[in-house]
Amino acid sequence: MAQIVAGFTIPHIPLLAAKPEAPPADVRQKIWNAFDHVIDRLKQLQVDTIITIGDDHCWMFSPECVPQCLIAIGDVSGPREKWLGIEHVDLPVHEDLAMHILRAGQSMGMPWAFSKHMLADHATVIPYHFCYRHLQDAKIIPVYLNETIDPVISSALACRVGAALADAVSTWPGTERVAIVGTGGISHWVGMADMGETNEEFDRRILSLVASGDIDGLVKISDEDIVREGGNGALEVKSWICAMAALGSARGRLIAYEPVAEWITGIGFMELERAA
Amino acid sequence: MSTNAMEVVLFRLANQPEDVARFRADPDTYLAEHKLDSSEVGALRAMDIEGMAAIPVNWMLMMGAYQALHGRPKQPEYLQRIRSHATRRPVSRKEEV
Repeated sequence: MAQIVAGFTIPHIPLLAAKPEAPPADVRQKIWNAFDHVIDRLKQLQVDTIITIGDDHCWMFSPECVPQCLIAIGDVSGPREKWLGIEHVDLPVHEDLAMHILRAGQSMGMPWAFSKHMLADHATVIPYHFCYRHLQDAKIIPVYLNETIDPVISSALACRVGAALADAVSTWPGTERVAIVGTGGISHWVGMADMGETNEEFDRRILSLVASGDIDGLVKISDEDIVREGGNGALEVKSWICAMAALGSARGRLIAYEPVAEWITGIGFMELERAA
Repeated sequence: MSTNAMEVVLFRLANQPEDVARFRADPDTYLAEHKLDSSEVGALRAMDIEGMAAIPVNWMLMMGAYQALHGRPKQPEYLQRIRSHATRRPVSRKEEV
């Protein structure tokens, strides 16, 4: 049977590609080192399939139709945003496993939407560009949660999505070694007056809850508190919650944390480790 | 003033260059195609960032539409306008982005 063998939280900041030289050299080197560490760990763990959880940034889904949770089951290419300055590519999707996850979830009443032909934004393409593509022959399965248009997905539903991912992988009769990656920044204010600031106290509170495996503690933080303390972008912590739920009783091990004003984000890398 | 139709217009401006071209060429005709009241038309026609921020409409949509209309280099101008209106967090300020 397929199995989940790894979990991570990583950023998907578009400025990593659009303004790679913006932060001081020592700061940006910490971020590149963290990506290298994640790549090395994925290789060590012989991961061949990555379920990458992210959100839309009002580039993909119009307010006319907003899925709360969506899985890509067909063609995926990107990035949608030309200003990232990175090559537009077709991404390698594990279509069979994605379809299985969709059908298994539907049978359990999960409110999955799906895409057969996705033009992905930076939430999927930045992690692919800086991380996943460095794994030879690895395939990905993009999962989108609505963390941008009110009413955003509840953290409780993000947990259910994570659990549904885990259940589906466990019933897939293949030998895939799967990583679950929750992508997104911690504090950041996108388009808001505080854009460019970070809140290290809030960031470290989130990192601490992940480190202790306290999903309930994360879920209990209201959306209003997240936005007030960490900005609208911090709602991306729901992708981290989803990944943690997929890993079960995982605790987070900090790889790197930097509040980077030049990239307008509190940036956290963690490895999600299951209890032995 | 509501936000629903305004946010759809902002999404289209942010994502569809042909909509930006039509808006620039004839904003009244373009906006008349959407179910907007007169105050909404006025806010969008003037790209009244301060007014829309007060409602507020979705911040990402507003910034995306502003950038589509004025170009990404104008982002500092957008932030300056937002900051002149909105309440900010009570913390010490680092260098403005």
